[in-house]
Amino acid sequence: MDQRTFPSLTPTTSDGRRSRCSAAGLAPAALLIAAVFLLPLAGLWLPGGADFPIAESSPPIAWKALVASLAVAVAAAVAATAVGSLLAVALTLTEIPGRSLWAAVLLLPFLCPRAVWALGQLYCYGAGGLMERWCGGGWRALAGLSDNGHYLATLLVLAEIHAPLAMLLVSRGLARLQHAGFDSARLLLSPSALVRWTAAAVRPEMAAAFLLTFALSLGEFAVPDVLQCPLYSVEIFLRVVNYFDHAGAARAALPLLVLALLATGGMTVVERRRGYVSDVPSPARTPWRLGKKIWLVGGLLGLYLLATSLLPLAAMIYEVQSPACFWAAIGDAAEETRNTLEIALAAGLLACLAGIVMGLWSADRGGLAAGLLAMTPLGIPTLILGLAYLRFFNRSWPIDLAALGNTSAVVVLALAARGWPFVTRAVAAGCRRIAPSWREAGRLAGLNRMQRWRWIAGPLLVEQVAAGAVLAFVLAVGDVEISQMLCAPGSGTLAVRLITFLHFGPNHVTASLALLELIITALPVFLYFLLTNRWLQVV
Amino acid sequence: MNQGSRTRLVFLAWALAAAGLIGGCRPVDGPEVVVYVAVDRGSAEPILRRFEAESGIRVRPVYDAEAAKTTGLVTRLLSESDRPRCDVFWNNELVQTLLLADRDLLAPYEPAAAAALPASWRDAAGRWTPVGTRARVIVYNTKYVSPEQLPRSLFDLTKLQWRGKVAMANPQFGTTRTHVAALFASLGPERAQRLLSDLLANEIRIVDGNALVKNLVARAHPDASPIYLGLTDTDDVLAGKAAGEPVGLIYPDQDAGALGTLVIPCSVGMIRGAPHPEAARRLIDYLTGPEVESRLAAEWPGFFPLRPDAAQQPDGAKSPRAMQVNWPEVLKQLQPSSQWTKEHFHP
Repeated sequence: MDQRTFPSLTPTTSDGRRSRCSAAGLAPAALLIAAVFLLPLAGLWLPGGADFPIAESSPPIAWKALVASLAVAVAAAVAATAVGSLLAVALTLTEIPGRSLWAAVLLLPFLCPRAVWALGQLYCYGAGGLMERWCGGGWRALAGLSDNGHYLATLLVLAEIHAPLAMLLVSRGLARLQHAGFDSARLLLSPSALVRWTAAAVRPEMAAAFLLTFALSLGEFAVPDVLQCPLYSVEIFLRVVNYFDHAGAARAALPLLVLALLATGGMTVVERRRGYVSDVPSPARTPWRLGKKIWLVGGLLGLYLLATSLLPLAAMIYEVQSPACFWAAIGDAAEETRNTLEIALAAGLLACLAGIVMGLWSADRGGLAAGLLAMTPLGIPTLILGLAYLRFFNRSWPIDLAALGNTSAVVVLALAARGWPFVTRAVAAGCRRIAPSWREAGRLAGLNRMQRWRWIAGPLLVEQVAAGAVLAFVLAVGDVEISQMLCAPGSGTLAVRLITFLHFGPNHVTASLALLELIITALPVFLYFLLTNRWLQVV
Repeated sequence: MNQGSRTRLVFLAWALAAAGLIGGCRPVDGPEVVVYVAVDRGSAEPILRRFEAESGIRVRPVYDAEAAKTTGLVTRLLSESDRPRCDVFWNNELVQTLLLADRDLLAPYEPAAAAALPASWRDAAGRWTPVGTRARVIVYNTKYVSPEQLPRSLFDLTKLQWRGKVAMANPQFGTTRTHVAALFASLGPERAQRLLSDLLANEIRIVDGNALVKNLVARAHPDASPIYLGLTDTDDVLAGKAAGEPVGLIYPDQDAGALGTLVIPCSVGMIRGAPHPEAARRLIDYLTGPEVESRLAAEWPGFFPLRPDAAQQPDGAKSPRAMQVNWPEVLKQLQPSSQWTKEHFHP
């Protein structure tokens, strides 16, 4: 975060009116978008479709796996919120140099494809991995303690992946502290009292971070699949692919879907009416100078980065073996790479268009219903979204849509449905950051609604829209679940190729594909950073 | 960045995305064939690409992930039986192909190349054609299992010395499912169930796939993961050996009078009502020809060609003495054996 992002204005004017983006008239379009993207969810419960279960083999609902998933998701959310809060404090309140770069790098675990991230951790900390090669038997014995079901490993990787989201959310709360007397508190309170005061001030953001990371961890499939952890999402997936029991999988998915939606719904309620700071720099702000302690903060951040990102990346590069192996592997994957880019760009575009409309509408309406409609789809697990689209489009009534199955149209639509809520959130947050006084000034200057949009709101939202588009693109690139279920024959993506080779080996091919996916997702993130000198405000 | 550059970048991004949207949703032109492939992707992909280059027919493959195994593709074929999308099914084993044939989902087509195959490996109705064989073997860790300790039979895995030290894939799926059904057919259900119960009592570890069995054995360590033996397929072990992993294989039950090793043929068949029948026939002709078997033998360790005119394994390795298997009986035992393993095995 650079100097420009520090606050001086709150989203409400002195007479208490909320910031609005003059998006009246968008309601029909917003409702249409929500209907188009969410209607296929009805496919989960519609009768008919391609139900051809091997009924005698399809197992009953695995309650043990559901309980394990809940426990792992809660623990991962607690860990992610704690780590994310610490990272937010380090990057938002202190004067650590290069904060935007730190933030861009720290965001990578969330933006990188889940399967790739989990694979990197496996290459580094798993059996036969980098750490075992360095530390030998000691590491093997330590790893053996958490071997049973790999629950601990899954929990830690999920926490790593979602900690950046918590960091972003808590940062937003911390940025508000400037207006809540943080400087006075810093001078007057003891360190422990200051910690309690700060935690209380950002409690809503911490609660939101917990609920969001819980929802996303609960529905996660790629990480437990790569780490061979028998969580509930894996059970649902196996029901789909091994037994082709779509109806049974839809029934089994219901508890997961309800819990995830409750969590993101709760997050919307918690966040409602929270203040967003504007982009105007605060002349009164006095930075928290840590003196020599800044080295300690920098050292800890570096250690965190080393353990979570750099070592796994090094392990992945080591597994590639040689540049020749890398080029050969990505040469073989040229068609999938092209498919992936086409599908991800298309899905990003659709998600972006839908997210802009929904974001403007929800920020303009400001009501709970609009917020819930715009934000709760964040919690829909990708696996369940893919399953719903599969069931909805793979049926012959009321019209036969089977021809769509030979194109990438359905997979593009489903991936856009995955990315759309994130763009919505970024745009809505951008709208709420625009100081109402600016629009009032425009109105007083005689600008009409379109001119105010053209000259005030539009330019201020470009970065949020770009952030949302980047996120929708990288989510589509890394998606495993939707692509595996919906891709047309011969139109597979890189992520599906990676998952196939993950089990068949050889390792250098898998590692090369993972590295290629990492590069494809990291490039737009760093491009965004270079062009804007800001971190991606994706939530 | 100034406003002009920003606007140009935004336009560039939108243009790229629109190109993606158009490209991503375009229909396919020209002749094509859809093939569902259960054979390892690394081996099958170059062969299909070569066919594509030679024939000018675009191949649209769907591969199975190890997690889904052959069962996923077979259930998909079953579900599409009313409106088939697939033309050719290239399976890495035989029983699930027999299951499709049994449900009348395979169209009769005997390629010319099938004439060179032994009569015992041909379907009378010509609904499928075998393409080489693999075997079910015992994999062991060469660092921790000495030659004199090596088991010689599947029954040796039930001995106390191997308690908690053996792994196998989930017997609900893949070649492990076929193996269990073959044991039910060859030994009789009671004896097969006793063998499997003894393995369970000996704390056999159940994992997600055959490749993982080999990986566990290769990475075995007394302190962390003492899995020294496993049941898997030949190709997994030989691929591990080629990659320098400390693994070796044993063909079980090779002694005189013993059961023999289960040898499983890969198989290829045309789907009834295939949308592209002519292209499907050309692909089947190609896959069952000597060139493909020779190529698979050269590139796929543990693959033994069935055709006498195909090149054999480069190291001269010979196929083991095979378990005498009545494949229709194996198909009959598939469901009862799966039901039994579902009730007793908990991965």
